[in-house]
Formats: sequence, C-alpha cells, structure tokens
Amino acid sequence: MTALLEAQGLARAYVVGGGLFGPRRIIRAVRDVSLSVARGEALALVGESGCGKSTVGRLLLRLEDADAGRIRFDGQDLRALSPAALRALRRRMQPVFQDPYASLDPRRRIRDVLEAPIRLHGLRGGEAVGARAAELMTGVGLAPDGLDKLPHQFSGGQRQRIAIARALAVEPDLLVCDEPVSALDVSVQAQVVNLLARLRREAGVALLFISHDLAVVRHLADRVAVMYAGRIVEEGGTEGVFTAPRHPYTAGLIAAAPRTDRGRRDHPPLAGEPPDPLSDLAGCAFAPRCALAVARCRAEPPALRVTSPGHRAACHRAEEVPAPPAPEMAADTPLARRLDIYRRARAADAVEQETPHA
Amino acid sequence: MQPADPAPLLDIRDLHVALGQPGRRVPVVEGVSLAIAPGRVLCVVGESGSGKSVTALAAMGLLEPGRSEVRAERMSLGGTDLLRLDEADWRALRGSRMAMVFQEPMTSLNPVFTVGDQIAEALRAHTGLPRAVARRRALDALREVGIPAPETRLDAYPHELSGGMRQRAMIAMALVGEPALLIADEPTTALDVTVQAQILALLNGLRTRRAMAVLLITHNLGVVAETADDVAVMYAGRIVERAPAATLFRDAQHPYTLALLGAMPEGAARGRPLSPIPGRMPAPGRAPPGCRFAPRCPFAGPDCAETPPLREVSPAHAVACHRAPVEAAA
Repeated sequence: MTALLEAQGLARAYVVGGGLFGPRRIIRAVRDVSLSVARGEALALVGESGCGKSTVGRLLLRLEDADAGRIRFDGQDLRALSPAALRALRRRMQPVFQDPYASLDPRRRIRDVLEAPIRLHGLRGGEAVGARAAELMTGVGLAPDGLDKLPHQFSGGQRQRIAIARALAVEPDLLVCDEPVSALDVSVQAQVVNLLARLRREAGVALLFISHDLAVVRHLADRVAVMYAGRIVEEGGTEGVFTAPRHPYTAGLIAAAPRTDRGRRDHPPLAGEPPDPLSDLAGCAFAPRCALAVARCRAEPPALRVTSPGHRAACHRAEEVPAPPAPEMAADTPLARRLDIYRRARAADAVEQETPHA
Repeated sequence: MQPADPAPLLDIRDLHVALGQPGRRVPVVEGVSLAIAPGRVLCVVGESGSGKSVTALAAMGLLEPGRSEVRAERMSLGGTDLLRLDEADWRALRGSRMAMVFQEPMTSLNPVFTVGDQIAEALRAHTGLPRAVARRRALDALREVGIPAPETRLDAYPHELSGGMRQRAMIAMALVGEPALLIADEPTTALDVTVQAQILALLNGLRTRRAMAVLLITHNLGVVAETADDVAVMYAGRIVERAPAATLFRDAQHPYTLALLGAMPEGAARGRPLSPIPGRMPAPGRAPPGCRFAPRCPFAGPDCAETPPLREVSPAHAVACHRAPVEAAA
C-alpha cells in the first residue's frame, strides 16, 4: 500500500542577518526529515520549540518550499504538478492551526466560512451547500443555528471546532494540525481531542498532529516521530515509543512531562537546552545534554536505524536507554474509584450538541 | 491551609475582589482564604476565569485602586497588615519581603538594560547598596538560579537569552531581595517541558534552601502534583476544594476537581473518549445562585441551589459540595 503522504529528505534553512544586522548566518531549521502518513493514520510530530516540527508542517502543506527533498501525496510528486493539479491536491490536505482567534475572520458569519470552500471547489450546488454546512456543524458537535453567528459569539474551544469544520468542508484526506489544542483549557481541550479521534474513526481522515503535549499525543496518535535540532531522532508506534524509548532525548521528554500520579518530583531534570540552530555540530546534536554520551557520539552523527520492527532511533547507544517509570495511578485509591463514577455519570448525561453562548 | 500551623507567613481570610469602574463592579473573587507557612508551596489551580490570578494580584497589591475593590477579614504577611498599606508601602514590600515571577519574562524584563543592571537596580532601589556590591549580589543571584557563565550573562540583554534563561533571570531578580514569599503566576506555562522541569526543580530547591514560602498559580494539575505541598482548587471566584497535595491526588472529592482530572488525557484509556466538561464557567457576576458548578455537574440536584459551605471532610481537607464524596451507590 502506498502512503497517503510521504516526504523524503526535507531540508529548510533560513538566512538571517547580512547588511546592517551583522554577519550573514544560516539557521538550519529542518535538516533531512523523512516521514510518511498512511491513509486514516494519526502520526504525531513532537519536540520542543525550535526543533523544526512546525516548519515541517509548513513544508508539507506547501506554505513554503523546501530547499531539498521530495513530497508525494497519494503517489504524486508535488513538485511535478501543474498549478491546477496542485490546487486540487491541496484541497485534500487541510491545515488546522493553534489559534482559532487568528484564523477566523471576525466579520464573516460561520455560514460563509463553511459554504465558501464548498462552492469554490464545486463539491455541492444549490440548496445542498446549506445542508452540507449544517451537517458540518453537527459533525463537530455544534448546533446548526450557530451558522448565522459571528466568530466572537463562540468560545475558544467552539471556535477551534469551527476551524476543524472549515477544514472538513472540502472533504480532505489529511488534516495537518499544528498545536490545535495548546491554547485551550483542559476541559475544552478534551472536546477537540475527542473530535479529532472521532473524525479518524468515522471519516477515516488521516492526521499529522504537531504537538509538544505528550499526554495528548499518547492518547491520539498511532505513531510518533520525535524531532530534535531539525532531525527526526526517533520514530515508532506510540506505545513502543512511550514505554521503551530508544533515544535519550525522548526518554528525557517523557520524564519531564508533569504527571499527577507520581507525587513530588525528585528526579533531576534533563539539563541544558537545545543547541543553537546556527551552529553545526560534528556529532550527535543531543550529545552535550546526554547522560549516555561517549566520545563516539561527539564525533560521528548517528543515523536513524531500525531498533526493532517499526521502530527507529538515531542513537549509537539506543539499546541502553533506560525505560521511563510506568504510570503509578493506583486503581484502589478513593480518587480512582470516584473518577470512574464521575466518567460514567458524565457519559450518561453527555450532550453532544451545544449552542453558542451569546 | 494548615490549621495546626500556628504562624502562617501569608494569611488571607475571606478575600473578596470586585473589578470594574465604581458602580459597575463585578465580583471576581469571593470568600477566598489561603495561608502559607515558610518553606511551603501552595498551588492555586483553576481554568481561565477561575479568579486565581486576581487572587495573586490582590496578594501583591497590584490591582489598580480606582478599578478594583479588595476586602478581606484579614490579609497579612508576617506581622504586616496588607490591608492598611498605601502605594509606597506596597512598593517597598514588593522586591524585598515579597517578590513575583510572571508567565512571560520578556514583558517583565526591560529590553534596553542588561540583565545585571536590572537585578542590581532592583536591589539598590530597596537597599541603597553601593553599585559594586549590588552587582556582586546580582552575580551571586544568577549563579544561584543556574545560569551558565553568569559573569558574561550579567552584561547580556534580555533578547540575547533563551526563554528558559530569561525566566531564570527573572527568578534571580525576584530572589535578590531575599523575599520571604515568592508569588509565581504560571511561571512555566510559556516554556518547553524540559525547561519547565528545570525551573520547577529550581523553585523547589530554593524554597527548601531559603525556607521561602511560594504561592504558585497554575492551570496545570501535573505541575501541581509535582511541586505543591498544599492545593486550592478555584472555580468561578471561589475555592471549591483544598487539601494537602498528597491527599488531593488520592482522595479528591469535589466534582469539579474530578472533572478537571477526568478531562486530562493522562490516565485515560487509549481509544476511549476523554470526558470534557460540558458548558462553560460562568462569567463574573453571571454565576447562578448556589453551587456555581451545578449547571455542569453530573451529580447536581435541587439542593445545589443552596451555596455549599467549604467544609472539612478530614483534617486539612475541605470540600464545598453537598454531594461529596460521591460513592458507587450514589
């Protein structure tokens, strides 16, 4: 089976400075990234600010051009396509961004936001357009009477669901979501996470989920790719990556994510910060922060290699990375029992539809 | 928080804050009581609009007098009655016995002065120390917060530092006056997780070494679990549950606390939907009578139209809910 989206050897550098602003320097944001997303699959791209994950998203969406590398969508090389063919292909790959406040025009009614792309791509005609818009609202858990409202009449979580409905209006095969729940409170974040999970299950939409939030990623993704300093350092099935990481950076990220089941933190955090993207390192970019680093790591960059079936890591000492502590949520605490009672009570009176608040 | 503790450093009882122009003020914080002993970390946790940040601003005297009204039965720091301070007293207090750290260090640091000058000036403003001494103390402070090569960073401008280093510099500036109380409002929210873990470890070490009391405002229950001694959960301007952290994460009882934990992806079974909280928090002044969480609560009944008092369910653990604790039979 061919992948829905396949990228090989993507690279992107930015030139900064020159002239008045000091010497001309090169920031290597993305340095040789290859990834693929199968139909209906959720791939998470994780890492910290500056690792290049958002740039990869922009390259894949063709919001900017890669300096090197090849992107294939449904088997077609994006570079080889005519402008018209590229437009048609773009419809099938839709972005969802972090900030629904910025991505919705405050003066446009929701009806127009949803109906315009349906008409533009000729997906429906006449009265079927309005019916489709109502269906999209229902699909993201909002009441169709919200169609005649303006963005400010919705809460942040509702706006993010509208942004998703807009992306779905053109019936894409893939959503590229860049931190779609990061700006939301946890109670609202859960709605959007549930919606994305349901879209995959019911509509078979594939997801490229760019996020720094490991708990959300673990919940939602089939596979995870971890980026550090412009490269993918580990990639594999979600459970494998979380329970047996094969790159020390992944292990450090997992250990750093705050959890509610462990009590007071007593382990020392991963020291240091990611390298300056201006610098060119001889060996592994993570070596200066790595507890496992040896002389070889500082001399020879590790290649991404298979450590077990479906799992790859770029580390000379991948097999020696210690497993992170398992979740310790004891099933027999009063809290665990009450959470169970709460979830059942909540499911019983779950109301899918919501009306705008204003 | 600790009724057994005889001498809390920060002691706030029955705090009420209303915001807005006179005549059009809306209540934002209602009846909040908090106490922190030296060397302890109290986390106030809640979502946007819970009143947690306004509570912190009131404790720091940072609410504009013309646009706010602060009332309390008691608000004191050590022996000082905070309710009787004028603006000059507040300024003297902040930066000496009380200091604060905010979410975004770039907006709190002045971009046109070096980090060292800003820390030294903050100290000189309160102590009148000679320049050279203040500069040496600034260097000590940068070293204490773990900034690498502090001698060179002293002369760096804020934009030359990474986000994590700027937050460390902010903490150095807060520490240089040797405060007894540090108030930190979402200090790690803008940071990456590995840097967040470093900053939390730093704060934790500092409060132990200096026996400093810390009031940490956060929306992140994971941060609470890993840093707090005591926790207060706020909803729509009120404390709905408070407990020692170890108790809360074993025995939380308020349906809103359960709702927050239930909405988190952590611990939820993969492939099973998370439990979002339907509806939204009431806007200030628009809260329903009685329990404010009732419209979103799966356990609510007619009696919830009556405001539930914050009652102790076990020593130091208090819950404002008629239905708590919910048990399987319910």
